Amino acid sequence: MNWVAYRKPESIVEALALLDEAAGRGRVMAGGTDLIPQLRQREYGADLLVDITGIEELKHIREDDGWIQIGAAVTHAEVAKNSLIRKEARALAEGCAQVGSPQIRNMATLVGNVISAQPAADGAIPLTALEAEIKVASKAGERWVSMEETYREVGVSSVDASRELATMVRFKKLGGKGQTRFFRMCRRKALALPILNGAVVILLDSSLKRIQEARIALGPVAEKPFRPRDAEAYLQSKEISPEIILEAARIASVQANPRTSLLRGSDAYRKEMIRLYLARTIQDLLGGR
Amino acid sequence: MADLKKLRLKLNGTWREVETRPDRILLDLLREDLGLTGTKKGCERGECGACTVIMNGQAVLACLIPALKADGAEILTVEGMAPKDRLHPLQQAFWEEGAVQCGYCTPGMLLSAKALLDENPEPGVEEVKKAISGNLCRCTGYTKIIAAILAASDKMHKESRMRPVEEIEKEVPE
Amino acid sequence: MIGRSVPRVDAFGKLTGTALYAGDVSFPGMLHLKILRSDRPHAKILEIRTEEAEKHPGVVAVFTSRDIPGTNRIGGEKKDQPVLCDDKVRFVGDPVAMVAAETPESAERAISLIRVDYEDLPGIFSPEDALLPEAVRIHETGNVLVERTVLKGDPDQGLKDSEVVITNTYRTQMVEHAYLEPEAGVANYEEGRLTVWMPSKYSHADRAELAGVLGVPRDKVRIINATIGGYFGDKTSLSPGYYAALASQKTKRPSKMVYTREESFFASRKRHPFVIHYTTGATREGRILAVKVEITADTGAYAHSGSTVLLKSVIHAAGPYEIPHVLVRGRFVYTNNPVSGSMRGLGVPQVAVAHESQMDILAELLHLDPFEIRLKNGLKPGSLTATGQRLGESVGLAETIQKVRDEISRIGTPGSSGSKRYGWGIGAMFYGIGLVGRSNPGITRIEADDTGEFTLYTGIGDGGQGSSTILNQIAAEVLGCPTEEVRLVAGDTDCCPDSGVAAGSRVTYIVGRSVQIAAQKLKGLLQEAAASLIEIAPEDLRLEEGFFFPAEAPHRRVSIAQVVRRLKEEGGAPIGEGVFDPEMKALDPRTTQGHPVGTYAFATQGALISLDMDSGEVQVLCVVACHDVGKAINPANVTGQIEGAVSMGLGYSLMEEVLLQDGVIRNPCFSEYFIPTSLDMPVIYSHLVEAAEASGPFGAKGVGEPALIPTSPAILNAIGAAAGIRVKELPATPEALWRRLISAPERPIEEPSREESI
Repeated sequence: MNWVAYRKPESIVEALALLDEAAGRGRVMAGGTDLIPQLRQREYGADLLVDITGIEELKHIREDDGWIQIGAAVTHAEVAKNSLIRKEARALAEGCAQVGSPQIRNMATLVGNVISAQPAADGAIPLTALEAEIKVASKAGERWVSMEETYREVGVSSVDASRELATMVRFKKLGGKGQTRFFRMCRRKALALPILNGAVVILLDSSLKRIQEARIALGPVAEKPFRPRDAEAYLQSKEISPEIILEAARIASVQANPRTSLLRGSDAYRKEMIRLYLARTIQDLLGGR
Repeated sequence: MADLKKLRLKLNGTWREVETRPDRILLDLLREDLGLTGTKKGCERGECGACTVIMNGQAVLACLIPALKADGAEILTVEGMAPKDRLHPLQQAFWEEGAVQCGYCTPGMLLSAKALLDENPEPGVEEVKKAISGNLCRCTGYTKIIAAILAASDKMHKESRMRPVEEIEKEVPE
Repeated sequence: MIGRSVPRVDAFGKLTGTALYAGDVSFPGMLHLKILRSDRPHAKILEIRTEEAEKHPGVVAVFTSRDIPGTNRIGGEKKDQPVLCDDKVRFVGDPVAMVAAETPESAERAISLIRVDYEDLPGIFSPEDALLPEAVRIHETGNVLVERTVLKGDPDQGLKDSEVVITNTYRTQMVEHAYLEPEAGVANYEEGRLTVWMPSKYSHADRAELAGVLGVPRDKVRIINATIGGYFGDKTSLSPGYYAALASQKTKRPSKMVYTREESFFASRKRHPFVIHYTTGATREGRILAVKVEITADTGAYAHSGSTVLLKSVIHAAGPYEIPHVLVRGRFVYTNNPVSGSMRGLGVPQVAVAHESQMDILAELLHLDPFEIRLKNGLKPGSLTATGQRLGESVGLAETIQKVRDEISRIGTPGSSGSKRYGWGIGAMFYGIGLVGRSNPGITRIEADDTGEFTLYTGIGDGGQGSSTILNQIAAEVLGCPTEEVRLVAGDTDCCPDSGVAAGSRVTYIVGRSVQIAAQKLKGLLQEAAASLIEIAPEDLRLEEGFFFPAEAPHRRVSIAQVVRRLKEEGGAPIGEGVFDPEMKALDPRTTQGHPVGTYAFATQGALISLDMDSGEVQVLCVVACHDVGKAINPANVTGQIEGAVSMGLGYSLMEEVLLQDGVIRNPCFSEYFIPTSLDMPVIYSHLVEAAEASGPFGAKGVGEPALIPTSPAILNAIGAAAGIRVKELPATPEALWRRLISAPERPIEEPSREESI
């Protein structure tokens, strides 16, 4: 048996109770697009699947007190076409729009993308640049976990899906002076994991000529979505010019330090592509100012 | 061995009650338990689209869905696209445009196309390409499939009724 | 009927989900089968312990080589491949044992309980290593499977006479057929006979081979072609149907096996990776005098169809050009890599990459444009090929080159923008239709029945390329009826004649011709009977839409149904049989001079690409394809083949590669082996040239493989045009191009020297 039982609770409380009953042999499931193949390939086992996509309170996308919140049952397709997200967090809409395939986007959830703990997850990368947090509910109560903290190791989240339930993700609204972009490099235009992906968040100062803050997330170059902090620090307070964009991209590519991979390419190539794509993306974002 | 569980689903327009093992996958439920072999198994990893069905109005991959997740859901498979001996305008268009070669990707393509047209009755070429971007085809190069979907959307816009096969056959151009 | 884009005759079932592929077939009480495959590339089998597996709940039988009643060696050309390994395993994926169980799960659990003791042997993963004198022997006969030479004229002298000589080395990669339907087979045992439902490109050969494995006479085995989800050259020989038959024979129960996708990657045959050393000598005016070609290919662990692929490769290696002096030497070598076999084009896509790159390199050197140099050297009616065959009239190459040239002018080339450069490249090809250098008749039988309808029996199962529709159209044309009145029975060894294999794009030309002959014979019989019914001379009768009638008195018509009844009353049988074996002359074993095939198809394709000079990424924006098919029996079928082939060629040149590490496929799944999606496809303009082939049905030749061959060369040449870099290794991945771009010096066009390596 790949699993023994399947349940679809109608509330968070019920979900947690089911997990508790299963005493560590249960597993939260959302879209199942990562979990089901893993279970079938016996990468690990589970007795009980707790499907959270029937819980109404997990299905929202909304703005609340300066935060944008997305529930754990919201799919990539829903995020990609949501007008609030497209306006306030373009990179997130773009990332979600390029996950897998249309069918996968209809099934897989954004929060699930974070819990799958893959360094190049197309939803998790923009969330990292947006410095999002995940709300986690467990028997002990609720807590917030930053994006960085959710990654324990590749494929293993610090959120223990056998005991806890991630209920939503939220990030601070950027406001009028914030812009975001997502980029992705892949071997073909659908159904392909990225060779390289990334998201850029830039906040300008009131003159709109100077960068107040920059945040960059890159994957897959480390065990989790990678923040090239040196490049971010470099951009801070700089006046916008083509030179600073190129330099920031160079710094990021050096700091990212990708390694040679059979499927993704050599270290030299990957490093150069980080530099290239990051420069192009920041350039596009700043719109030739 | 776990007990069988009951599941109720609206399959191709009809409510059905079935009993199944809790770890049954929807694709196997359809193909093995319900005898609907029209939905195809291409990879069992969600990487080819051959198992595409429409669940609650959305195109999804049956190979990744636990059968019990379909409890209470509406499912459309290729067998349900038109009554027996009739063709849905999409099927008709695929036929006329030569969009069927080996046919293995065809059911999945039809369902992805239907999901598109249900949401967007007048798609452009790029939207059609995107809608089937999760359906791999090795035979056709997608060209005639895209043409067929566009032709069907055209026709469906003008008239929406099921037509018997004999009528369509007579209309095949000389 | 001919020249009409009649919809596919088998489309209805595929569209409604009622068509049955082998994986859809089920019987009550059916056993499920799983294979234990070798996890190492080369090892002696010391012992296989199956007791644990046999005891597992649900297991009905466990098989090893000892349980094979007949012969445990199969192979269309050389019987060197075991059904279940006995002495050694020779590649990762080699089948070692099989479990038959009540459920797929218990079969799978039982597999994990089988213990195999191996003694590892050194693994050989390249032809170079296999050819070292100290290399361990993968087969007793040595590591060279087969060698073949084409020799015409005096190539050494030809090169001496040349004013320009260029030499380059080309490498092509291993690729996967990647048909959407994973292999499957179902067998049923009834009253001493086994019936097997399986996809097969050659049911009769599979029946013979399988009967040998089962140790029974052929008439105890029946193979029925289920609907086939693509073959592209494979889906033949060792496959689930064989194993299902074994299990059914032993257990007397119906049995079923379906490969997982990963298993299909390991177990199915691949396209041979080639290393091609190519030397071309020409005059300063661009007239090619000589070519010398050396081909070395990794054929993998077993022979399969290596000889056929080699033969086709060397015959076509000089390209569609009339060259007085030709030397081609090819050698296929065993390794412990997965088995390479027949894949669309049979080695010609590989050599085409080489000969078309050589043409463009030469053209650039000599300041000729790519069209000029090809028209100058291209084969024409009456030309002599590299094997010394004098071509007939059906040679449409020049028209295809000119058409592509016109189309490219019409469409134009975008100017550079930002980091993107654009360029058009072309590729030309020719392809011999049919099996090479040997008799390969098509045989067809058509019967008329009392209702006036016809049944066409052919051994060829339609793999999706539309063969059933084409054959149907041909029959319907001759018999003067709509296609709906011709019923087709295909690929059933009990009732269909052996029409040969679906390979070499031979079905339209060879089997189609036999259909035409069969239909003509049947029509003749019916016409005689009709004549006696109406009491008029047979020559005065016409046949249209199911009725015979005198030309001057159409009202005096009789239906086919009436005629059939009359024929039977007169003691005749309303059956027509047709046989067509193309004319050929046996090939000289030393020089391969002779007539390999009855006719050739010709084509040119052009590809417009954009190349991002900073990242090496290529987009194929447009392909124009012009194919000489002799006669397009069904134009939509032809363009459909071209479009599908363009996607396969795009994948071949840019994104597909079976990644091997020590004999293990590292990317055996669709998320890591990339075939193009709808978003990767270019706009395709297809044009047809109809240089009628007199010996073909209504002038038709073939298109299935020709459609693929020019695409990759055109894309590579387009990269050359856009960026001035010459790609000699497939696939042209972004990283590979980027490496060339960052290291390429600025090259002015120099005066060509005597010898140049570019």
